[in-house]
Amino acid sequence: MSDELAFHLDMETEKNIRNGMSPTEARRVALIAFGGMDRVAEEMRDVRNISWLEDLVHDLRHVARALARSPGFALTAILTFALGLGANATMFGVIDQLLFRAPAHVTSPDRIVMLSMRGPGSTGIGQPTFNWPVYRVLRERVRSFDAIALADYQPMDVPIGTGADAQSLSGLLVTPSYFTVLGLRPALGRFMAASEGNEPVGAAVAVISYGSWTRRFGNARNVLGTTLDIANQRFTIIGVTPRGFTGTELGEVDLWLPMTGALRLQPLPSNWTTMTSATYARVFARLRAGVSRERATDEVGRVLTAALPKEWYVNGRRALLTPLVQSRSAQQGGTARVTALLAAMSVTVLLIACANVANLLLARALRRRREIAVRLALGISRGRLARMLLTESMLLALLGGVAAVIVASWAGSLIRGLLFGDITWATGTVDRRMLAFTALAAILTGLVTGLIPALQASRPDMTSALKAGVREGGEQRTATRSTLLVLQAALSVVLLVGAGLFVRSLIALTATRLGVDPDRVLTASMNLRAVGRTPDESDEIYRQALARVRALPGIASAAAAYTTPFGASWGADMRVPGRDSLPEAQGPFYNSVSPGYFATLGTRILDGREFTDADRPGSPRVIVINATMARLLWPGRRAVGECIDFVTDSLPCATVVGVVEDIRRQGLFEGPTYFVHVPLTQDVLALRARHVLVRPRGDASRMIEPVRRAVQTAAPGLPYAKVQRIGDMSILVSQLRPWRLAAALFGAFGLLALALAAVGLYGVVSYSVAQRIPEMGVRVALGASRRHLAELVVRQGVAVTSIGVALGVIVALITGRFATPLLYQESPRDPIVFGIVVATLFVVAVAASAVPAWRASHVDPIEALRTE
Amino acid sequence: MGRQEPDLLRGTLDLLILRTLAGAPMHGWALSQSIQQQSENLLRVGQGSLYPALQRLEQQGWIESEWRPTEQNRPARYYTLTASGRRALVAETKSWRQYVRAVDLILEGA
Repeated sequence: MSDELAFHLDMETEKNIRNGMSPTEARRVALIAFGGMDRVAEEMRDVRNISWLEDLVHDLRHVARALARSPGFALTAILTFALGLGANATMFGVIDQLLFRAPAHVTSPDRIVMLSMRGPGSTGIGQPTFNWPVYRVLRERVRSFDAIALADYQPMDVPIGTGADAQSLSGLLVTPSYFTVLGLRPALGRFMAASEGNEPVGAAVAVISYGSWTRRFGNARNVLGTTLDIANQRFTIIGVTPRGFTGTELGEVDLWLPMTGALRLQPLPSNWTTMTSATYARVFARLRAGVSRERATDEVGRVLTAALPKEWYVNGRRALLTPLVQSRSAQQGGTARVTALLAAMSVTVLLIACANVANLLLARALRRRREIAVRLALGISRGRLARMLLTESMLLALLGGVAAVIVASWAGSLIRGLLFGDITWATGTVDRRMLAFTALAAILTGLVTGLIPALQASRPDMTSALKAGVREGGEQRTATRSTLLVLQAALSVVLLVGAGLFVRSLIALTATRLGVDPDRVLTASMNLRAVGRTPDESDEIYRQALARVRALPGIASAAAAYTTPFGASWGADMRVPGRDSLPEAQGPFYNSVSPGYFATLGTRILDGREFTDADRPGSPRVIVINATMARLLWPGRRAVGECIDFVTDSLPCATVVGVVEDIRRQGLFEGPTYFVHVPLTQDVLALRARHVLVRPRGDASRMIEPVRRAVQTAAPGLPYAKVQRIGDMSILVSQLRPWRLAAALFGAFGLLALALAAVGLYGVVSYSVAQRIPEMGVRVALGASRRHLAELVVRQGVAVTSIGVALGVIVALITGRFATPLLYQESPRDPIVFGIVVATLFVVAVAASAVPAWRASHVDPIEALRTE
Repeated sequence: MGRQEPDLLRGTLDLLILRTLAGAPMHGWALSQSIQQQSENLLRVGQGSLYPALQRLEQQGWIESEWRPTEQNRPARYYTLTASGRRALVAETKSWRQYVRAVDLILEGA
């Protein structure tokens, strides 16, 4: 541009020289003729319509300079944004990976569906488990799919090797079509061929994950063809999945085995490929091109109705095909609901942050009233002025966004570690999607925050602002600021009430007696069936294991049992002599236990006794029942001494010798259940010892390795012994997660909101004190006491807070019902929680007003009046 | 401002530029000189209107520009008439003739 004008000028000058002028003169005349280079350049720029860009650069420069001059303000604003945006970026990172993202490396995941059966009126995903016969029928008759696969409902512990080197990997049994359905490409080697999954017996081949390829084989390319020693069979490694693929669910899978090739690993009867009574696996399929999900659902429904046993359609249950990504979130149930709620909360925190910075900007704008009025008087357009203020908030928000990414990467790994230890994450805490989200959120935040100051600043009363000092004419804006403050206080109340409710739920939940101390008891077990041990050999091995564990130092007690709380359970009918029917309850369920079982778990014996060594095969048959059973069957009298019949045998009835408190069987929430314990030695239901339970004296987790070694070496050639705390069993962890998540994050967000509100209140009150210093001076001069002045200021802060608190309480009462299904033994209107929150806010209000109040009460009247 | 320039009617400058460029591509200064000479020094095009006008015409797609060395081997921005510029020139010339005729008619009739 200016090159062109310079050229023109040069040509003009040369022409003048040719006409006989001196070079200097020629230049001067040319310049005069030109009429100012800048003006022309500017007009040309207007034509090109890029002036806004230049304005922006100019504004940015101006704003950056202004911010650099008040670093305190800039830092507060950026930090506030960083926390608000950081909270959102963190939540986005969690939610995105948990609920919205397809597993890595899967081709066109929107074409992949998961089958489930859903009853009418039910909104969830229904029952997602099927079996081999269903898979075979669908594979043979349904035309809507390109490929269809069956995959075990969850990975199983696959024992690798035996003895001291034994290991356990997480293995998923699948049909070879699994990889076709997902559209994966192997990182190395190949996936299973269809023939390797033939029934009745498939090939002994294994596909391993990239992670286990790295961990076990150091990424050696010659891993292909090597064998894994699983269940006394040699499985040949044929391929490696792409890096980052860990299965379709959230837990990590180390290896995939053909379902028919790993028969011996499954506790299923030999006729399992034709057995329709059990369901144990998910059905995935890839839709054929051009086939809609609706059409496929119709076809699957028709095929299943024709082929399935009638009871599958009881209550009008229908086939449902859910896209892969949605099926993941649907199965997260409670966690998904809580995360959604938390997302709403993090947006609230961001709103508070916006209100806070808007407040700071307003205060700044007030201080700059005169400057702004002068600018307006000098002819800057109001639009331009508003744009400048918006630029300021945008710049702050974007800087805050950058800091937010740091906050989020830190908070993200904290949350992952604390609350999602059992989940494998596909990417790091900061990825492209999260960055895009943060950038978008930052821009929106900048706009929202800048809007109020910009609107306010663009319509000031110019003359009065020019005439008046700083002191006058600020009432309207103080009103705006107070409104923002009320909003902040209200939102803080809502968040803190939420936090309180969830913390109390969590406390109630952890205080609930489960009938077992989950964090103090270890369970140990081995897949002996997989290595071909007979039941009698197994019994002997567990006897040995128990003896060795008991001999370890630091063990309070140990016992053997068929199953454990939160493990599998065994159900069978029973009869009570002299009764035709029993009161309605779940069960009865059975466990077969050794002496010391209840002491080891920490279960209280309410009446009678525990089993002893005197309860032997030949001695009278005895049982210990749970409290619910005693109460339901023999209300108002002692159950000890009564007896029940097992329907499965014709032996004399077994006598109740003890009553213990209820032990949770499966979950934290279950209805009344009949539970019967029988002595292992009496072998009533052929329930043999399959677990060793250990109660160490101190920290249970530190005894995991010693116990594992003791069990592992109980006999030569044993498969991997799995030892874990009951509290770490995934069924418990996943059930507690929603509450842990909600209590932790609501608490964090609530405190964040409170801190922001306190800063906001402090800002407004101290600004208003600064404005009222002359007034304070007059008051002092007229004899007001310091105490009186301080009270005046504090009252102002408390007044604003009161309105906010009142509003917040109302909102919390109204919105509380959304949280009700997520609470445990807690009313959403718990007066204790509301009381504590309200009190906290007032304490914070007084504290935030204290410094300005002190300043007000120490006003020097002479000094104050002189400034007039 | 010492010198009075005949005020070019709005739109006239565009027409003159298009007409001048129809002969040959040239740079801004040459363009202004050419208009001045052709009008026997009656019309002087100020840079302040010339360059914004060139900018406007280029945005309309009637002319194109590129940097080329001059005969003295100095880089200059040369403007060329485009096909649509040529069509515009025809249309503008026609409407200008009509306009002049109309004004003439009124002036002679008065």
